[in-house]
Amino acid sequence: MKRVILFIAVVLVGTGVASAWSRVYDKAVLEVAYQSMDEKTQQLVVKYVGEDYTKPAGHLAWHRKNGRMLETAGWHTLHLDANLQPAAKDENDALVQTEKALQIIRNRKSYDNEEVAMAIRIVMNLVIDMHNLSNVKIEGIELSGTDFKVGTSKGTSGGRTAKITPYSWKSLWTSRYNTYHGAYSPQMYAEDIKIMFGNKREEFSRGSLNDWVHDIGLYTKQAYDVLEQNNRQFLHKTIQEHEEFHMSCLARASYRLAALLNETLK
Amino acid sequence: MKRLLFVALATFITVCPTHRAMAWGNTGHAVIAYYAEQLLDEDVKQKCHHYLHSTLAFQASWMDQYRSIEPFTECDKWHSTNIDANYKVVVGRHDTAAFQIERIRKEMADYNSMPDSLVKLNLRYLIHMIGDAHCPVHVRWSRKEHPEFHYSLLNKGKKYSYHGFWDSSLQRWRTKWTAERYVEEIGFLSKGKAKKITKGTAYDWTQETADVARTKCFPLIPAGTEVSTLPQDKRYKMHYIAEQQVQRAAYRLAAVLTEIFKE
Repeated sequence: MKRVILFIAVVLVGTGVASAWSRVYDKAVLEVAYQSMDEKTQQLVVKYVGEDYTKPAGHLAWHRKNGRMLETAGWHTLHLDANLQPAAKDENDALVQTEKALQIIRNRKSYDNEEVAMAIRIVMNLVIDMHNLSNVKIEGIELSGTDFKVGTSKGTSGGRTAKITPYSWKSLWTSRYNTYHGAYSPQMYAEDIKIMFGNKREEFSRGSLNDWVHDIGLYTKQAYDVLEQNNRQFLHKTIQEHEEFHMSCLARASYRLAALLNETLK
Repeated sequence: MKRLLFVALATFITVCPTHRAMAWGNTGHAVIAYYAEQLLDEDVKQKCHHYLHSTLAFQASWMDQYRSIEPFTECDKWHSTNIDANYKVVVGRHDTAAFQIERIRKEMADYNSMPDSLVKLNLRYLIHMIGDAHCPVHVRWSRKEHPEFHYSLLNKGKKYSYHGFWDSSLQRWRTKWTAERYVEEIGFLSKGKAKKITKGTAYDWTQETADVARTKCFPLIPAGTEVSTLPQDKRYKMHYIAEQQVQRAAYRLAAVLTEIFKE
């Protein structure tokens, strides 16, 4: 019976539209990104989005919640083909929308300030979102996307059977790790991101947006492989072992966002 | 026979550690570690970051998360310390937080000759156990010798764990507070007071916690208390006790880390 309980099958369920990381992570990424920008870029970011440069965190979701910008609901997902190359079929794709917003920022003299500000907010939101691997859909991988749940367990001591609780893949990568760090603020996460991955800033931000998307595909696929190897279960031990990996996704998003805005706001 | 079974059960409960208790919860542990980090000199802080590859706060609940994962299951028993029939802390018992804190303190005097991974592990243990040693419900009262300290509370009319109540006492009714906010509210001690409270060993600190539990916590929240409607004055006193314990833990953690890493 214990074995039966231990190997409960993964429950496949349909969920709604993908959304961002937990707000505290979004703000942490924006904090590290801001600190990693050139001084000139920092000034322009403040000029367009305001003194509180972490305020754009969850901006699109906030608008949708209030019945506006409903067309952005599908923008958070990053679509990749089997070779982990961009494979958007329409405009509902994080990469497509990021590139469109970057064009506005590059040609900002042709737009009014509010349009440029919105483009910056969109880039901030979508670069963060595409680094959350629950927002990545890879062609040919059955488990791709956010539409399934994983078994997790709290674990017990003394070799007793672990209880497995169904948990969504999306929630795992969006907010689960935050539950291990009560009272954590965005600034506290930012500090940890810098300590853990500050020395990888150059490595993470090297290359183009397409290179980064490929890298995101690689680590997303790596997580799926771990899931497959573990009977489609991400149990307590595996979750714990992936915490640093989760933080590395935040670090990649942070340093790449800074590099992207440094380049486009030049 | 029934009597024999009762004795056997009582003995088992007395010896058996509290497995799933998580002192202070993730919030309290993060606050203690964050607070301690604010007290460290820059060189000591940098050494901690170097070995931990993170802040102290990030590792604060590692010991709770890994207590069921091999090869760390041994530490499952290190979250609390036994108290004897005379209300005195039991010295020398390996499966207690106080013993392990003192063991690691001695071991870390030679941290330079240890592998970095062991220094990291020891730091994770110290960060967590020094927090645990200050949680009023992480002193183990024998059910046989101290039956008066084993009771439940009520939450909206339903049975509620006394242990769980104090584990979450710091953040109770303050769900949105960050660690920075807690530290700001609790404030800092003068140099003289800080020096005074950081003296002693983990056994002394645990004894103090046991005294706080016995003379303050149990009288404040007696058996059957309905916690959802706890009067304001009791809430205030509960927060004050929790904050004072968190402050002591933070200063002592900072002192232990300074003792280890200060050149």
